[in-house]
Amino acid sequence: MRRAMERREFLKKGLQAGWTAAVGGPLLREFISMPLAALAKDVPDVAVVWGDDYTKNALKAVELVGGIGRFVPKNSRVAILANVQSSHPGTFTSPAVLRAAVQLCRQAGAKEINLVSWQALKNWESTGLAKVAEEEGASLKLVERDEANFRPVPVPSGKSLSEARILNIFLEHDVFINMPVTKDHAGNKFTGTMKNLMGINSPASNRTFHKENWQTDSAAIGHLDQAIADLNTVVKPALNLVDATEFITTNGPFGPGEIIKPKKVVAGTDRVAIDAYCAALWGLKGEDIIMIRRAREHGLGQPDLKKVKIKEMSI
Amino acid sequence: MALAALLFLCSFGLPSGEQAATQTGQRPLSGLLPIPSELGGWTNDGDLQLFEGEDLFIYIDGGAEIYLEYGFARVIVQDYRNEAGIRLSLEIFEMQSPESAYGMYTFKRSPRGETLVIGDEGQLADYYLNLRKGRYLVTITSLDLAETAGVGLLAIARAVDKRIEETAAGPDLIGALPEEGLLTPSLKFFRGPLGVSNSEPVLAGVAAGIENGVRGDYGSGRTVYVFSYPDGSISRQKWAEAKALFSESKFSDLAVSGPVMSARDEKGRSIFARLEGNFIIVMIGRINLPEAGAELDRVAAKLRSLPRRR
Repeated sequence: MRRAMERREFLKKGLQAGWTAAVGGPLLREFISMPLAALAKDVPDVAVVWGDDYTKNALKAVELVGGIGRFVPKNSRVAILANVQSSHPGTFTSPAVLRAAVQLCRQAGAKEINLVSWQALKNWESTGLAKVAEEEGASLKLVERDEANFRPVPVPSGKSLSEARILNIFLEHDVFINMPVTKDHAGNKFTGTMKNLMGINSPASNRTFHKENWQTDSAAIGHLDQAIADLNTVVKPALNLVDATEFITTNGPFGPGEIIKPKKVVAGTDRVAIDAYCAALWGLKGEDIIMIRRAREHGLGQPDLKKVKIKEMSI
Repeated sequence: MALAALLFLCSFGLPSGEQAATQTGQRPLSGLLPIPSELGGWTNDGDLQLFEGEDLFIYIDGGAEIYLEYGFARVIVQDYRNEAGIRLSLEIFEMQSPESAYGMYTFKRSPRGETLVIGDEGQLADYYLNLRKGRYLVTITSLDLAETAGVGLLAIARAVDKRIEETAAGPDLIGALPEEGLLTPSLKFFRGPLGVSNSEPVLAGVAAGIENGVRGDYGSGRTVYVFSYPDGSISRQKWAEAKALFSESKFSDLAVSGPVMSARDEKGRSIFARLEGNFIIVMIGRINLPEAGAELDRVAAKLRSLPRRR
């Protein structure tokens, strides 16, 4: 009953904001309708678990932020977005962390668990993520980069991005779990939860994040970071489960580069806080990452880690 | 006629761009690939891939900008696998010039790798190998972080090295850096602000508009940058921007005297800079005023002795 009421309330708010009409699917309302108010008071904003078993780390991290039932309703269709950009070590989401996410979704009674992507099957196979999907009973939903496979989604509060182009198939899901690997990025200096969303936006649209005749000046980089923050205003993951186990801190995002191994999995809903936390893992300040500042200006989260309730533990 | 037929046969089965290269007389990059007997037990794993120009965004989705800044032409990618299932990935980048390849090599190499006598320069890091030769940058990666992959990395690198005929020394601007105390793996060559931003973000604005630049770290705890601009009007404009930058609240103790200025950043590091014709020299780190003055003089003298570009 509580959920039904909240859903109606969200629909009302969503229509006022133009979001539901823009997306035209159940995606956003489900993502936002999870009742934060129902959570115990000691549930952290961000949970961090480290140890040698990355699957266990992920399972525990989700438990700490309220358990999978908070994010995945029974009989829901779950879309998972992992990073399979490259098969170089430290550049893609750990198969062990993905395994935990799929196991949790099954445990929650999800009707479907789909890994959605426009990246090639080769990437999924060479990273070992396709094998995990098969073993755990998730499906790969891979589409061609053809623009017909993407739907325009207005970005009402966008400053650099007025329209996103989101994977059609992604919009057919009820719940979105965002699963990036955090790592270095030569353009933005950092990639994490927010930049990962470019993985459901069309490659052609992603190219517009880069100004025409890209000259890699500060204005162009600012435009790119603003566009990423803008995209995040219209796509809101129910849960972010970030692989910070082993990742590159140079030559990102493609590698090969220097790898560090914090062996951490980070979970939560506040993308800005999570990205600020992950950036700090290799000495970056959230305030120095333009994308994080722009997302803060959009009200997407809290970059000041002193103001974020973080629960860290090792297992 | 016979030669044309042979070229056709040799190009059969290659990516279309490689076939086009053959037909236009451009040397196919696939001609640089090792032959099976040189692979030390590794065999092809999947098809050869080729990406040219801005198609690099398809291969290096979200990370092509740095290659394009340095001057990218095309790349071929071939993966290999041995009987134990250990995988290697070979990438041969053809850059637009030897300077482009040199710069990208300095961007990609590890600060802790082992120097190899291979190509014009080469380095073996934990699980990957980079070498540059002429316009080419070769990167070979152990995808499984396997300790036994090192033999394969070296075998493939040597085979590719043998096939690249052109060679090139480093750019002249490298010679502007003082040699004493220079930590060679730290040396980086820039072609634009993105490369600089990855080394020292605060200098990205000053580096916008450079023709090229260099950076070197020194054992004494200082880092020296030299930025070269197309002409004196641009370097003077950037000098004015640098003064404005160091006037911002995140810096302190700004002092300007003619073509020299100093400041201190939030981390307490000293910053000294000097305008020298088309160049701006920046020194950051643990360094006092007399040392900085002497060092700036040395770099300026070296710049004056560089071959004139035009």
